[in-house]
Amino acid sequence: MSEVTAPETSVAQASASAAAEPAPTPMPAVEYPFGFSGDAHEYFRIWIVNLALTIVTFGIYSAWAKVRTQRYFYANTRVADAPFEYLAQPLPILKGRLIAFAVFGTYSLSRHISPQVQLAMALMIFVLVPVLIVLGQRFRARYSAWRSLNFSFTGTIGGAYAPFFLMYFLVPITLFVFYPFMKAKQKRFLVENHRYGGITLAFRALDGDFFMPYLKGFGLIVAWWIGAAVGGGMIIAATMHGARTPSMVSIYAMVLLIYGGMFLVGIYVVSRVTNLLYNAIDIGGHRLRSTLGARELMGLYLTNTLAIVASAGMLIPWAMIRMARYRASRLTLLAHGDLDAFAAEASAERGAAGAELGHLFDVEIGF
Amino acid sequence: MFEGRYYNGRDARAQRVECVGADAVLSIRGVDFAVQFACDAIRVTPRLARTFRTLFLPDGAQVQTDDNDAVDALFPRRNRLETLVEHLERHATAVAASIVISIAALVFAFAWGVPWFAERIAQRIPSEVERKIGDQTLATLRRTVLKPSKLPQDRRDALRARFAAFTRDIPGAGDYRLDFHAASRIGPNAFALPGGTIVFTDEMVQLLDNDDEFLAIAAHEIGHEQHRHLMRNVLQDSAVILIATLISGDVSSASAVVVSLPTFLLQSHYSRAFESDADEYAFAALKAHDISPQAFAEVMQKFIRKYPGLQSRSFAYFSSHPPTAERIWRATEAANSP
Repeated sequence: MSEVTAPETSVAQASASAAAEPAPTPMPAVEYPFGFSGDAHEYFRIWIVNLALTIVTFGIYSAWAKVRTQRYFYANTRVADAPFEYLAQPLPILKGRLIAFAVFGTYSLSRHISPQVQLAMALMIFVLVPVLIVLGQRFRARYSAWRSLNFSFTGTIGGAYAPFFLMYFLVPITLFVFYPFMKAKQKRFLVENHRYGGITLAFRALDGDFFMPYLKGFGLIVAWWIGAAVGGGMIIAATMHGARTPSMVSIYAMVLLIYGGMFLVGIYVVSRVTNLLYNAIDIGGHRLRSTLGARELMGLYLTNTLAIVASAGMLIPWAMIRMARYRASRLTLLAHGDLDAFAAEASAERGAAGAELGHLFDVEIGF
Repeated sequence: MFEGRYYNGRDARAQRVECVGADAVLSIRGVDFAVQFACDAIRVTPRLARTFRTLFLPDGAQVQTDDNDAVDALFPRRNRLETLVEHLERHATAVAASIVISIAALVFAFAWGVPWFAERIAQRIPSEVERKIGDQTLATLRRTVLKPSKLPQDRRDALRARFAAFTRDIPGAGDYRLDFHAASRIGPNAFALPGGTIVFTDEMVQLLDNDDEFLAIAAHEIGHEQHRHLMRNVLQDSAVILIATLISGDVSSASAVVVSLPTFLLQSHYSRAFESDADEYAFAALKAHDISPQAFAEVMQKFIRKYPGLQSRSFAYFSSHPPTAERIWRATEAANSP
C-alpha cells in the first residue's frame, strides 16, 4: 500500500523550485503518492444526467449536480489508502447559487441601464471579495474529510481584508512589484487558517519565494509580445499586397497569437505557484510534494480545449477526469511519523460556535 | 454481511470491521470490540457510481464500505431523489435520453426560448426606461466617437422633414428622433438606439445621392425601433451569457476560451436575424410609400465599392450583419415583386 518511491522525483522537484525544498528532517519520510481512480465513461453518465436534470429543472438541480460531481471527484482521490470525502448538502449550495445568479444578472443588465450603477455594483463586489472568500473556504473546508476527520477554516472576515483587499492598493503604487508578495500573503492566510481535525496547518515558505515565478512569467509575456509584434507585423506586411488595411484573417491570427501566449504563460505561473503552495504546507509535521510540470499542463489544457470544442462539449467529462488524474499523479504525501495519530478537534465549544455561525452563513456563493 | 473501515470519530485510525444487518439492527464487529445500532439511527450517504458509502453512527463513529449492494439492501428507501438519479446514471437508455434532452433543450432554448422571452420582456419595458437607456448610450457615444454634425442646417432640416413625412402613418413613430453627427472614426453608418433615437453619421448622409436612399436606410432603422430589437438584443445577450456560465460552471479547464466562442457565435446569429428582420420591414415600408427597395440595394452597392472586404463570405458566421450581396439580392427581389 505505502510504497517508497525512488528519490528521482525529489531531484526533479528540487531543480524545478529549489526555494521550496522542504527543510531536511532527521526522520526519513514515508512517501504516499496521491492517486485518482475516476473513469471518463463512468463520469460521463453522471455528468450528462446532471446536465439533463439541470436543464429540465431550469437550473435548480445544479446544486444537487454539484454535490454529486464533487463527491465523485473527492471519493476517487486517495492517499495512503484512504479516499477523500465531500459531505456538503445541496440546499446551501442552491441558496448561494441563487444569490450569485441575482447579483450576476443585475450586474450584466446594469451595463445597459447606467454605467454609474454598474460601477457601483463592481465596487460593491470588489469590497465583498474577502467575505466571499472566507465564506467559501469555510464551507468547502467544513465539508471536506479524509479518514473521517473534517477540515475546517478558522480565518475571519476581518483578517481576510488585509491580503484580499487592502494589499491590492499597494500593487499599482509599487508598479506591480508587490503583486507576488500579495499572492504569498493570500496563500499564507488561506493555509494557516486551515485545520485538519485538531491540527492547524503551517505555511513553510517565505513570501519572497513567490517573486521568481511571477518575474519569470512577466519576462516570458514581454518576450512573447515583442516576438509576436515583430514576427506578426512582418507576416502582415508581407501579406497585405498593397491593400490599405490588413486582412481580417491576419488580425484574428494576431489576436489569437497574443492571447494564446498569455494563456500559456498563465499556465506556467499557475504550475509553479501551485507547486510552491503545496510544497509549503505542513500538516502536523507531514508535508506535501507537488511536481506539476508547466509543459505537461499546457499540453493537457490545449488538448482538452480542442477536444471540448470539437466534440461540442461532450468530452468535458473526459477532460475533467484527465486533469484530476494528472494533478493527483503529481502530488505526494511525505509522512514523518504515524498518520493514525491525527486526532479530531478536542474542544467542543469551538465546534458549537462554528455550527451557530454556519447556520447563518452556511452558503457557498458562486457557480 | 459486508466489510468496512471503521473510524471511532476521535482519530484518523482505520480498523477493519465486519458488519451484519438483521431485524433493522446493524452489528459491527472489529478485532477487539463489537457495537450495535438501530438502522433507523444511522445516516447513510447516497449511492454514487462505484464510490464508497459512509454510515454515520449515532455515537460519532463511522463505517466506510465499498459494498454498495449490501448497504442498499440494509437501508432501503433512503435518499429517494439520489437513488432515482443513480438508477438513471446506470441505465443506457436514460443516459441516451439525457444526451438527447440536453442537446434538444439547448438548441430549443437558444433558437426559440431566449428570443421568445426577450421579445415578451422587451414589450413590457416602459418606454421611459427605454428612452433613458438610449440617452445614456448616446451621451457616452457623444463623449467618444460622435462629434457635432458639420452638415448644413438646411440639409438637416430637409432630411428631418422627409423623415417626419415618412413616419407620419407609422404607429408609435411620432416621437422618433433623427440625429446627425460627424464620426470620422466610424465612417458612413446609421444606427438605432433604444427609445426611438436614430443616428446618421455625416459620412453616411454624404454617401447618399437622393432622398429615396436616405429613406431606405431610415426605414431599416425604423424597423429596429418598431421591433424593439435594441432591448431584445440586450436581453438575449445577457441570457446567453447567464446560461453559458451556468452550464460551464464546473468546467475549470480553459472555460473562458471554450465558452466565449459559442457565446460570440450565438450573439452574432441573433444580430443577423434582427438585421434581416429590419431589412424586410424596410422593404415593406418603402413600398407602402411608393419607393422602390432598389434604393436600399443602391446604398449597399456603394458600400461594397467603398469597402470591398464586405463582399467576403468567409466570416459570415462571425459577422453581426448578413452578407451584403445577400441583402442586395433580397432588396432587388423585393423591388421586382408586385
